[in-house]
Amino acid sequence: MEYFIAALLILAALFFLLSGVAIVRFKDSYSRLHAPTPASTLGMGALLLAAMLWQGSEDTLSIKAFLVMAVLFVTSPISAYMLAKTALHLRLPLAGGRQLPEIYEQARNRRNDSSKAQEKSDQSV
Amino acid sequence: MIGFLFNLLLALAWALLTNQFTALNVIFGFSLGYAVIWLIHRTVPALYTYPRRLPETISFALFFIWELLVANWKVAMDIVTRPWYMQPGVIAMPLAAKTDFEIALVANLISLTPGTLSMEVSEDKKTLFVHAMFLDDEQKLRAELSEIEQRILQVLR
Repeated sequence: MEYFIAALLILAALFFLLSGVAIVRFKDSYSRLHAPTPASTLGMGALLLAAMLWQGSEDTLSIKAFLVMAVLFVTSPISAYMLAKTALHLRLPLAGGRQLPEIYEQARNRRNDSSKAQEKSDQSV
Repeated sequence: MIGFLFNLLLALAWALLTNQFTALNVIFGFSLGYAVIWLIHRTVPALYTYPRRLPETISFALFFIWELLVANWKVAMDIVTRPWYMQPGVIAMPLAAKTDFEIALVANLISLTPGTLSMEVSEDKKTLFVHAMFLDDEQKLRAELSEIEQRILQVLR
């Protein structure tokens, strides 16, 4: 059992490392928002599972780890959303292979020309 | 929601009456409570949809965890190995969700999945703008996103 817990901890640490590497490697601020998601989902998941297995046994319910997970799963998308919104507002440039400036502008202005956007993305496929 | 609360109360009552606060006993009490609610759900309007919703919610949770694992694997492999398939960009996704709560849930779960991030909702709440890491196969991405959305709506409605 202890080996299993240790393996889970190492797995979690690897996911955190991966997220760190991802933040360095990605090119623009929007992609960098994707970088922490493996750490905050699978990394924290493995870490909390390890904590749960270490603390709990058959006779006790350890709900604390579940609560930590629930709070993280509710708060992390909201902070990512606020950061993305800020980046849009500041008109930070998009880097990468496929840019659709029109959709970018639509998102910034919160306009919905969904038919137009669909057409545009169909053309560029 | 109220059905879940009732079920939790029944599980708690079972644990109190048997005086055993072990994980196994609480789970047993919960399933007993589920059976009781299933027996009376036709006569109580507030509980009517609950017996159908609990298995749906559980199966959605399993589906979502599986999606998380697959997407995490994809993102992790792309970060670590040399040929990069990354093609970041923004897509506009038409929303089937209507109320604010549904839209918030869909947007948050899309953000939680690695590789996709919801950026903004249009003013008329009909389009969700999603930033994606892998736009090389846009049709597949759209299909995945709308499958997640459909499953959330199935649980909520």
